Amino acid sequence: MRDDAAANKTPGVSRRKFVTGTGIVIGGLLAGAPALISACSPADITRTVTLTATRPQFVCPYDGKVFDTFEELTRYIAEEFPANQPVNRFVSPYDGREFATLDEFRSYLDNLFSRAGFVRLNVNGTDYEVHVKAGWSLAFVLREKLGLTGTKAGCGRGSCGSCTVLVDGLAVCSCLMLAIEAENKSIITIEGLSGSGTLHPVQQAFVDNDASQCGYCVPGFIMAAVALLDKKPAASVDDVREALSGNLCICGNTKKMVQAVLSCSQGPDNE
Amino acid sequence: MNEALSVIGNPAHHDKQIVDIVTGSLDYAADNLPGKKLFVHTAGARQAHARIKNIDVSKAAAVDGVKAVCTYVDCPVFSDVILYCGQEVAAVAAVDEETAAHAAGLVEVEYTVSPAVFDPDEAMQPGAPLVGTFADTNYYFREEYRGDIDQGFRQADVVVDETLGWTNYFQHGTIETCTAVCYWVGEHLYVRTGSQNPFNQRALIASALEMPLNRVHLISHGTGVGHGDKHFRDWAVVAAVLSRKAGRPVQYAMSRAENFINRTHQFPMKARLRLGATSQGAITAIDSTFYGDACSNGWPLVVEANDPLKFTYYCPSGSFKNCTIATNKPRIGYWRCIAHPPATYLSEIAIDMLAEKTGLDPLEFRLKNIVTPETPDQDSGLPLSSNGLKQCLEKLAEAIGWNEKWHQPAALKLPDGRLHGIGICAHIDPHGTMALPVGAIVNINRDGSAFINDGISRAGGGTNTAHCHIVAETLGMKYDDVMVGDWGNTDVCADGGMQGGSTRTITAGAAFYMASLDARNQLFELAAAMLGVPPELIEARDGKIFQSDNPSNFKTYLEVCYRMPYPIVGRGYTWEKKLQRQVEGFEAGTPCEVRGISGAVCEIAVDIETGQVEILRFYNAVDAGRAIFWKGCQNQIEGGIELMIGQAFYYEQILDPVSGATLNASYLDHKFPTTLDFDCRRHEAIIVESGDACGPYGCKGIGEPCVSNFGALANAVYNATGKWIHSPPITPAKILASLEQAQPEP
Repeated sequence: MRDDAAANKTPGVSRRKFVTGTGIVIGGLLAGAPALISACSPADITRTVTLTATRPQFVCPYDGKVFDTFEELTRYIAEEFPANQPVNRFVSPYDGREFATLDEFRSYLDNLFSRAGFVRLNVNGTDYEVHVKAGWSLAFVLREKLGLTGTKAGCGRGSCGSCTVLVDGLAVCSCLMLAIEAENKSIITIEGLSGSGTLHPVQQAFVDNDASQCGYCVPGFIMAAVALLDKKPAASVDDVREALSGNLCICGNTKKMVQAVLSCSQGPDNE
Repeated sequence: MNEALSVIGNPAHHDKQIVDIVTGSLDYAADNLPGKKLFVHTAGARQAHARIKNIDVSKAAAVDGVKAVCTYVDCPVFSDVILYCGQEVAAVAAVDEETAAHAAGLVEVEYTVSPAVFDPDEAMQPGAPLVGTFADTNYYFREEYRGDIDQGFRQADVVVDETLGWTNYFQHGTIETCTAVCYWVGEHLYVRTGSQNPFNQRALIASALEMPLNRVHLISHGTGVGHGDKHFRDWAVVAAVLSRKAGRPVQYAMSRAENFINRTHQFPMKARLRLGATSQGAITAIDSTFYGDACSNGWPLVVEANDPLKFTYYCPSGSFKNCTIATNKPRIGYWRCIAHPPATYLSEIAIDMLAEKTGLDPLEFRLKNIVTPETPDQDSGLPLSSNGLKQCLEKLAEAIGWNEKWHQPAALKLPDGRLHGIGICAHIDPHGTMALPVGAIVNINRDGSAFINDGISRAGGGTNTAHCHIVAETLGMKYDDVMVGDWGNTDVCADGGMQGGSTRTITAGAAFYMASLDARNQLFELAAAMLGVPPELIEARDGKIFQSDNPSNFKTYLEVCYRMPYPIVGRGYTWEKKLQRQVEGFEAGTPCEVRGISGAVCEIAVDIETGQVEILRFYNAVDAGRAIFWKGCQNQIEGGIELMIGQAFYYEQILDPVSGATLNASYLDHKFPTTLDFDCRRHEAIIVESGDACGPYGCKGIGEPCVSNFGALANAVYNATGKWIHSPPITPAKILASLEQAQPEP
């Protein structure tokens, strides 16, 4: 059932696809493309640069030339590197609209994201009507509006996997998906795995292997593993390593986690 | 001794909170009060060294949805003196994260800018800009001596004199960023945070807000990795100030970028190491000078950098110097230790160099020179409570097949053309000792079970569970009958001290041992009357309390506890750092030194075309004294391997050399290894049990020793390529560059 749904639709936003596809371009721009603007911390970028510093602020990523303003840099890149114009095309990832300038793009997104309304989310088999702002991530809505705090937040950029949930059977970083994008999709969180009081086999394997130190990353790892095993019950060790590679464990506990997932696999690497 | 234990060291026992973790129900700070909180974002300084002339938050405060703003004027952890680029100057609380971030961007600051310096070598030059951390200089030296160093070098046949470093500067990257949820009830402040040190953190918060301790209530349950970054108060104070202003609960969960820039970092280290040895391979002199880039806060953590050389090897003479340098970089702190991992990295490279000069292989050289269990501490003369380093090295050598595998540097190519390398590393540090006294509480229930109120939080070391082992063993209860009650809660626990210094199992464990004895004595009084024998003749094991010379005369814990005339509570505190039994001619009761002890060995393959290193096998051996919570112990040691790989090959925070701004403040750019970067099945933990004479049930600390031996990887790279790379991370680019130097130009 889940497989059918996944096959028939454009497969949502898988985290690896999101990172490698358009998502990274847009995400990079929204975040201020740290590689382009060397002197600003990512959090700073959305503000106007009013600093009166004696040193240049903006470095061309292609030849290292420095500029005083962002506008000069973008103009320079447009002229000198017409093939590489990441800052001149601004495409909304949500509806495909294109914008010529960053300001237009930002004000469009600001407007879009500040809208609010009801969205219907199906989480762990229950339908919820949630009043959300368009800019809220699925992770934020799951945690703060539905109180499903088993989904953890670690980076907000899809790079640590702590917020992994299943959306139509695919492992998705819920920090990278807007709540409004998840409308009419089936969402499973860590709380939905053990609904009937017994643990899911992957959860049980994590218990049996004591595959946790601080435990913060564990729900994300489990969801990524469940997504893999649902699709591929006889996953090999390489499948497991790849499926878990979007998740970070800073305690360094991956040996036990890989062991735990393999013990649930019907594949040959399950010793 | 093992047979006498029924609970401790049982590999079948699970973590007490593991089910809560896999179901996502263990509460971390940000999981509290969903839907009721405001969210915080900070504004960071755009200068690396400046003073704030004027700060204008009016535009930020006017944003729809912003409920409170604070700056250095009303938030005691902010300052108008900016010492690094990105330092927080203001914080905004708003209805959601995006609004807070947007408003924080509207804070306008005018600065009086001063020159800044980021390179520690530059900072030491005469005429360098003053960083602003120390009064009138950027650095200072400290030194210690042992024996006659000149005599030591006169006896030496071979001498190594090298300047090595700098090692890498990186952030802990705790998976849960530093997070606090604060709210006020009248004059009482409630703080939910992830903490490694709840009681001290409470004291720091109370002092910042000038409040008595009994008005600050701190609860720290889940803690998403500490690694040394969660001892402090800053984020909780920001949330508390904003919460008081807004009159609502406030959550300050640092964004990943804020966490990378504004939390503490591992500091870079450089060393000049001059070591002498006889031609037979006995070390005669150690002259070491460690330089630590203590960044903008200037903490003199480098003072401990000499420890590994001082404690690991027997050497009659030594001169141990260290130099703390200040620069305008984001602040430093403890990363799983104070200075030992990078210091060991540099020292162990020098030890391998010295071994090569004497003609001995690195293992042989180490076995010849390491301190033995019979050697008292070389400086204080006090006995060591135990020392399993020799066992560690022997087990490592056996596991990897050292004698068959070791070869001269750059002398072995694998069939696929890659270079084979093998490296070893040994380490003793002063961690895992008895830290400041802490307390413990054990509560006995009427159904024959017990729970402990543990004053530290659950930061990943498995210590709460280890304490349950100690309590169950001491009371003679079944493991399942002892549970962690509340923990990390300053209202109901005794001060459990700091989860740091590899001290929790040993220090708080001792307190729980004493608390269990206290409860046991009360219970045995009761049981003695029921069994009709004097209390001295009572024993307990596996949930039964029985007459020691007639085990069939017994009562179960349920039967005894059901008749408790009053609630039985056991209280305990840490004992002093003294031998609990005789060791090598030293009487029990003698003051002693406790050491953290570990070693690592690894086998790698280096691709000379790409510079890629593949880890073929990696063994990490740690002397745990006695493994109390066996699986937790194993987890930490296995985790140590991944952290060592991270230190050696990946972790590095990069600053813009002109502005000092952090360029890689995200997990995407500040790389942490994942399951694809190594094959974790090739990692193996080796637990050595030397039976510590000071720790409860013979345990030792392992948290820091288990991450300190990443020098083994540098030594393996040298063994493969014949080139030293003494500035980690050892990237493919550095390996290729080092290999290019080798080939003379045609």
